[in-house]
This record gives sequence, structure tokens and C-alpha cells, in this order.
Amino acid sequence: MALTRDLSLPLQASFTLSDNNGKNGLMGFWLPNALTVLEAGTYIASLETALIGLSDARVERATITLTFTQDVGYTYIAPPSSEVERKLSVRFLDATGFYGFKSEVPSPRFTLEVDGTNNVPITNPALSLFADAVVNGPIGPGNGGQTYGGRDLTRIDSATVIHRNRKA
Amino acid sequence: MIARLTLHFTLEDSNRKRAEIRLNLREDTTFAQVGQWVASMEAALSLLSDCAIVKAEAKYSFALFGQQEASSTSDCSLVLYVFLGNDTEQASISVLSPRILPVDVVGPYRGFRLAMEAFQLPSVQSALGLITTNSFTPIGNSWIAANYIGSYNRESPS
Repeated sequence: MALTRDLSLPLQASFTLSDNNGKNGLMGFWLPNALTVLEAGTYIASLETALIGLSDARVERATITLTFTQDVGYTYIAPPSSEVERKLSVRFLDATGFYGFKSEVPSPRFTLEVDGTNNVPITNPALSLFADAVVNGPIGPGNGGQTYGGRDLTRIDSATVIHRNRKA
Repeated sequence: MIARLTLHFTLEDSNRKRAEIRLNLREDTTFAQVGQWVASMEAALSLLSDCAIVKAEAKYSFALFGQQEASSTSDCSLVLYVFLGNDTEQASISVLSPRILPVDVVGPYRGFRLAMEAFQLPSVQSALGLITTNSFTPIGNSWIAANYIGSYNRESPS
């Protein structure tokens, strides 16, 4: 198991253009794969200039996508009990405790659940590892996951098993 | 300017139904660091979920501040076919809402002829030059702009 990026393939870049009626259109380009983020930004700026010259729609945003796929030898088969509608809803908070981010992990392992409740203890080792991966990331504190507004997540708040298609 | 960086993981259950989990990252995260993020999140997710982890995508969104003209409409597009020299690889680029160009053509094959006229314009040549020097073919080769053929389907301005 290892998600990897195929460096023989170019980077995908897409531009979103919007017309006067608010309708959007997408345009795709491919960029060299060995670029840094900064270099990719200069390519984006040049292509934006070209599009402004050709189109009278608003060049609204550009997105560069890095895709990681499983190795050819990846053989994991999800067990029959797996179900993506069943989720582990994990809530993280920033340092103030007022702003948060909710992450929903599909098909949580049944071993996480404690009898009689949907709450998963935040001390659970697998959950702790996930929380550490989100809050600290691979680079360390201060470089972890963020809220939608760009605030650093500093701790896990709660974790609850939910089901999208079933009432509690 | 990068406005947002999001990391998306796609997971699949035994019925091949898929779901996505998403995380916001700092905008100054480098491509190499994103690779580290993918590895650590994949390891953590594999202990938490019994789904197969199919793929991950990191999306860097750049906010652009272009203006739109009142005449802009997505109902028409300028399609550019850029052929490679040996014709074994070709790709098209479709530009939404092409600017009304200072050329007019009447008669049969109007769209095709209008596009051919448009391609002669310095402003269009300049834009095409920027595209071919700042992007690559889908398999990562440089464009060999042997030919441009286009269709221009905007109705003639009244």
C-alpha cells in the first residue's frame, strides 16, 4: 500500500471561466511535472494572460491538481461489511475552541466502537494516530490541517459514528 | 496567489461505492511536503477505515481577479486543435466565450473561415504562443504547433 504520484505525467491545471450570466466553463492544461509551487504560479499567470486575450469571460480561478494513485501491486479488498454511508465524524478545534473542522471517515472499523454508544473515545490508539496526522501533519506543529478560514487545528474534540441513511 | 490547498482522499467500500475525505492544508505547503502528507494520512486512515484507499489528490487553487465583459456568454466557444508534427498525438483547447474579434466573414463555412481569419490576428497569435510555450501535451511533450484549425460558433454581432 502506497499512494504515489507518477512523475512521468504532467501536472494538471484547470481554469474556471464565468460568463455574464454566472455560467461556468472549465479549461484544462498540462504543465511540467518537476515544477515547484512558485514556478507553477508563473505558468498560471502566463496562461491567465493568454486566456484574457482570447476570452471575454472572467478568468475566475485556476487549480493545479497533484494525483496520487496506488501501486500496481495494491491488492487490498474491502470486507463485505464495509459501507461508505457509515461514517466516523471527527471534529477538530482551533486554539480558541470556537472554530472547528469536521472530517468524516467512511466505514470506520467496528473495533473502534464501544458497546451501547456511538461515541468513539478520543484516546483510542487508531483515532489518536489519525488526530496526530491531521493536527501536526508530517512536518510538525504549526504546519497541520486548518479550518476553512485558515485557522490551525490544534486538537481533536469528539468522534461519533453516524449513518447517512439511517435515523439514530 | 494560492487561495486554498485541499487534500482529498477517495475511499471505496465492498460495493465499489466511493466517498471522499477532505482536509485543508496551509497554502505554503510544497509539492514535496504534500507527498509526505499523503503518506502519513494514508497510514492513519488505513487503521481507522476498512475501505480501500483508492487515490489522493492535492488541489492548489489560485484566486484570479479577471474582469468579465457584459457580452460574455458560455453559449459559444473557440475550439483550437493543436496537432503535433507527426500527427500521432493531438489535443484540442476550447476557449469559452471568445472575444468578438475585428473580423467579419459572410457566406458558407462562416464559422470555419472566421476562425481561420481570427488565427491570423496578432493578439490571437500572441495568446496561442503563450499557451503553447506554457503548457504541454497530455502526455507531457512540448507542443509542436504544426497547425491550428478552429470553429468559432458565436453568431455574428449585429
